[in-house]
Amino acid sequence: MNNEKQTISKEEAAATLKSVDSTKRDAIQSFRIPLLLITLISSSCSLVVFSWGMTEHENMWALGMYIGSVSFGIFVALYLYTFRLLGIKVSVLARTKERLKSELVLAVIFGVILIAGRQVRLLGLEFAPHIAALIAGGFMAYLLYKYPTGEYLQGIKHND
Amino acid sequence: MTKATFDTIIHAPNRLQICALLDTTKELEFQIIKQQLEVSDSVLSKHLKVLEDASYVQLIKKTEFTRQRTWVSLTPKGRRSFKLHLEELKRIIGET
Repeated sequence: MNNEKQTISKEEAAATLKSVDSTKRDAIQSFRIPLLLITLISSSCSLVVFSWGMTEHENMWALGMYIGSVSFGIFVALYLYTFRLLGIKVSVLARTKERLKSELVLAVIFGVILIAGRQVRLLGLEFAPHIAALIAGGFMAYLLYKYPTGEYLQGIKHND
Repeated sequence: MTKATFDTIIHAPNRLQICALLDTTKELEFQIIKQQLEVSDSVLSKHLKVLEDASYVQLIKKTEFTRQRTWVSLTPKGRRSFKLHLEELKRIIGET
């Protein structure tokens, strides 16, 4: 029977949880994509944020936004394809409630950075889009480096 | 809500590692799992067969660029059982 009742010691259970956690962490570390691709994705994200912050009726920054959005899409597709060639299929859509929650939080964070960059510039701080673009690009690079498969791992607490 | 359950099929060390690996992605290729676990083809096949018989994993063979690749993924049942198994382990150590 699959789910037959079995008891194991507290120590064995803790060791098992620790091994599961390290297996996941080791795997995610080895699944990292090339730094060039991380840089390209982050740069195009920065370009979108910066261009949105600088766009006015009389300038051409809207073009930067379109170029940034298209290149972001292309580089993300390349990122998924690179993983596929390596033998890893990454789930694009959230499978669990935790992942859905973290993706919504990230969407809100990037949304706030994007809007704040523009609004703060309109209030008078000229360099707000530059700062917003740096934050968005840096944060995107961090996420792609730390969580390449999109899975967020929480640390396991161990009761010794 | 389903109760946390100790699952003897998943608890075997190699099978637990296979489930942990598959839980980080949507699908993994057979060779990647083999490299990560540092086991032979036959050992991995044996464990995957046990998990497949329990409907915990799904194996799909595909030919890509003239190369045969076997993609392995956790089924919804497998993902749920793995989660419940981890919850039971956490319950044992008194985390939940």
